[in-house]
Amino acid sequence: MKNKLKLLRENLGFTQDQLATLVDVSRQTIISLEREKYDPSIQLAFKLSKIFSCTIEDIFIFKEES
Amino acid sequence: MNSKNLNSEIKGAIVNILMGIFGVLAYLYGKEKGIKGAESLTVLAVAVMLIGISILTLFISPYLKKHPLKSIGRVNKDDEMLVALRQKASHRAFHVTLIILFALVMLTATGIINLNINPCYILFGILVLMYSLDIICITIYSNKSMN
Repeated sequence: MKNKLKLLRENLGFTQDQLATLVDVSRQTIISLEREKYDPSIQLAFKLSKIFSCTIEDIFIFKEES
Repeated sequence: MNSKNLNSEIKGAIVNILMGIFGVLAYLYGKEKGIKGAESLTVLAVAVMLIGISILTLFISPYLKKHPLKSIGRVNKDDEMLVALRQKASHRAFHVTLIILFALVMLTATGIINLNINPCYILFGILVLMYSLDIICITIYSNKSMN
C-alpha cells in the first residue's frame, strides 16, 4: 500500500522517533511504514490520521492487487 | 491480573519458569526412583537455567523497555509490527526445523546416517536448533523491514 506518511511527517516537523512516541510504536515501525514495507493495523492508521488531522485515505492509498 | 496487560517477554518468562519447575520436579521424581544418569542431570541443568534466565528477564525487561537495545537482533519493544514479525519468524523457524527433522528421519531410516545418540540429546538439539533459527529469522525479517 502506498502512503504519504513521510511527507506529512516532514510537513509537521516531526522526527521518526517523535512520531513513533506519539502513536506508541517503535521507530522501526515508522521506518517500515514510510518505506511501504508494512501495512498498519486499522488502529494504527486511525492514530496516525488523528495526529495528522486528516482521514486515513489522505495518508494511505489503497491499490487493489491485480 | 489480565494476561492481556503483560508483554510477550513477561509471558514467555512465566511459561519458561513453569517449564523449569516441571523439569526440576521431573528430576526430583526420577531421583526418588533411583535414576541418576547424565541425562537426568542435564534436565536439572536446563531447568535451573530456564528458571534463572526467566527471573532475570522479569527484572531486566522493564529496564529494556525504557532503554531499548538498538544493535541487537532480538527486538525488545512490543508493537504490532514487531509482534507480527516475531510470529512470522517463529512460523518460519518451526517449518525449517520440521524440514530438517524430516530429512534426518529419512536419512536415519534408510541407514545413510547412524545416530547412536540418546534421544533426549536429540530433542535438546532440536530445541536449540529451533530457538537459534528463530533468532536468525527475527534478525533477517527485522533487517528486511528496515531496508
